[in-house]
Amino acid sequence: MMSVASSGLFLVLRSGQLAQQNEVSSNLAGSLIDGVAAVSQGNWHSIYDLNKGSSNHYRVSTSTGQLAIQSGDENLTVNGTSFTRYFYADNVSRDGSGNIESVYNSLNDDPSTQKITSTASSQIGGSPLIVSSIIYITRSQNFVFKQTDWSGGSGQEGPITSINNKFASSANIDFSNTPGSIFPIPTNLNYIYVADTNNNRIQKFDSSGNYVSKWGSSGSGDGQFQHPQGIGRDSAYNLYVADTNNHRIQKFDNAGNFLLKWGSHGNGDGQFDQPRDLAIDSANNIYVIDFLNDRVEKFDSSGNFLIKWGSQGSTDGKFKDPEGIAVDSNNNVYVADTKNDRIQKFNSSGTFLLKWGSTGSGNGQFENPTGISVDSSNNIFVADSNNQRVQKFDSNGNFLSKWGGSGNGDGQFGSPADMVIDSQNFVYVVDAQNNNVQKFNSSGTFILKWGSQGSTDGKFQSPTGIASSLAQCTGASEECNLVSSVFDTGVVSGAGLNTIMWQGSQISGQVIFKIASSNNSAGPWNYSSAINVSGPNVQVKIDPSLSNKRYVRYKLIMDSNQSNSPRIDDVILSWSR
Amino acid sequence: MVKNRQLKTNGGVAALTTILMIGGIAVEIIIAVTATSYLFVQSEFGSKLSSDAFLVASAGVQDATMRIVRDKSFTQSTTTLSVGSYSADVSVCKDLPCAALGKHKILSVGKAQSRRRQLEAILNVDSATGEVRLESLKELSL
Repeated sequence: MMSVASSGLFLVLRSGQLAQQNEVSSNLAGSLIDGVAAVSQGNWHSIYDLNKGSSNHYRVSTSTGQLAIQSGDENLTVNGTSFTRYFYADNVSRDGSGNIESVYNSLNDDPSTQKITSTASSQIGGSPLIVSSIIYITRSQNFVFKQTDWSGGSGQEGPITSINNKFASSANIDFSNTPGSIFPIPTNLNYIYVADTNNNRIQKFDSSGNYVSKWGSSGSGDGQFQHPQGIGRDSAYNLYVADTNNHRIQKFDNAGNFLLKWGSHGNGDGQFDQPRDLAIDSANNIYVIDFLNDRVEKFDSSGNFLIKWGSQGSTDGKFKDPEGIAVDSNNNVYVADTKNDRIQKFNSSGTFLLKWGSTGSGNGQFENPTGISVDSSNNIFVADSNNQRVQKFDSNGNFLSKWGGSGNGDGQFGSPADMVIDSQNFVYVVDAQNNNVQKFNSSGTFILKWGSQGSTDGKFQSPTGIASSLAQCTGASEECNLVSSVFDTGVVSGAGLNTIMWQGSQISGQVIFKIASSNNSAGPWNYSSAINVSGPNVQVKIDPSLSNKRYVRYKLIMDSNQSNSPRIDDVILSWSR
Repeated sequence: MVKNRQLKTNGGVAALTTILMIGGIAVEIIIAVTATSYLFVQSEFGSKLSSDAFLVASAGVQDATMRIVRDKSFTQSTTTLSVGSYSADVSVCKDLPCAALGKHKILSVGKAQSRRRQLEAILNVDSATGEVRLESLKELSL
């Protein structure tokens, strides 16, 4: 009887204690989660910046008079029983559809969602009683930067906290004729890039010879040159420079920003001994004249070696100090075989097809042909350097016409080094001795010239390479663009960037955004890859890797098909505190 | 001798009856105590499960809100969100007839074993900018 009674009493008491401690633990774990959620609303980074995982215990403290996160467990006594509680945070990833992934994948990290596990524990009868609760919290407290007018014009770099009607810069954008809206202005301008060899730089001009910009200096760092002699452009408007005495190729965007480089001094695959010129086919493969190795090397647009052909000699497929190269619309390759005074034609695999020319000054003969170019009809133009003339041939090498003569007057040459033909079939010849560029029509009629010896803007020191690029308001060329002011979120530890969107109309063309963020109001501004927004009122998620920076700006690129352009009335950038 | 034997037999019957009665009472006490304790503990664990169901429902609301922030047109039929060993069934609808024009409604049913808690959140979503504001958050009975 006594045993039964005592057992019953023990059971009642024990179950009562268990239930009470369980309830207290549950309440403690729940209230801790409430505290964590409250702290995250005030400052997301108080939670997001914590060390992650179950071994990193944190508590919510009120010791400063405000809720704050501190490291370690919290010990409490409730109704005479000791409890310990803590929480820890885990990162969360989302799949392509935005669903939270059950197993975290760092490649899909969502910087605006955290998983919080709260635990409260106590002892009962020498055994631990542990109660845990889990919740997801998000940085959903959102705001927008909405720009509805750009008529105030450019020049406002920022940072700004409230949006007005100004912006940082633009090119070929109409922002004033219809206040509140912006439009692209397709210019159809050809730009000419000159390898200003002894000034170790690239200069950019419009098709009338007006100086636009330049980049480069003497050296071997990224974006520096040692005697650059050749330049070419791919279909994505990237520029490739044969950096001759650095024995490498450098790739730039059309604004001159360095993208990549490849090559070193030598005669192995992918190496060079003074690369002199390059040409690019319709698949954006790069063919490089490797001058002292007497060969052609072919690369993909990332600089991966593909094939090579040629060696020193004068038989078919061999070269003697070749200096110029061009590709026609069928991806046939033409090489100015300079010291052999001939042109050789190959297919894109390097198979010899035909040749023409011999030493002399007659029609179809050459004295040091150094430059070669192809027009839209696959006619071949050769800079016949020591004859101070340009010769024009059909794609089979049949002579068509010539122009030039020795001198420095209009239409005369000192040492024509290379040429390029623009989208309207104008021929631009760069002259290394006269330090100028001359523009002709396709029949050789002189139109204009620019340049003289010097190192200031628009002057040259022995220029030897030339390329062209058409400004058409294409997304790739970015010729029609607007760069916003720097927006300040005011979130010192960094804001979450949610979406970018525009309002307006889009009969045709497209609108592309690039986003840059930084913790410094002066940048640097490394723009994201292109975000092609398919139409007005379409939100596009911003790459999470751009989040957690205080300052943000956008570059918008308007793509037009000339007749019907998009019209942008508003740009809306959503962010979270 | 017979009489004595009868007396002894009657005494044994009485003792057995008493023992059985006391034993029965003891068993009843044990059953009652066990049942009481079980119900007591169950009710308190049930309280914990109910609290967890509420937290899981809250997680569902948080997740759906973030998704609306990133896509002002976001809706979904009932979808299960796993939260630890529990889950929430979350549905999101917008505009009429489910919510007023320009508003999203999130229904999140948190489930922790047998316990269920339901939360309803109404969000104001700016149709032009996508800016999201929480208008109301309340628990609905199930």
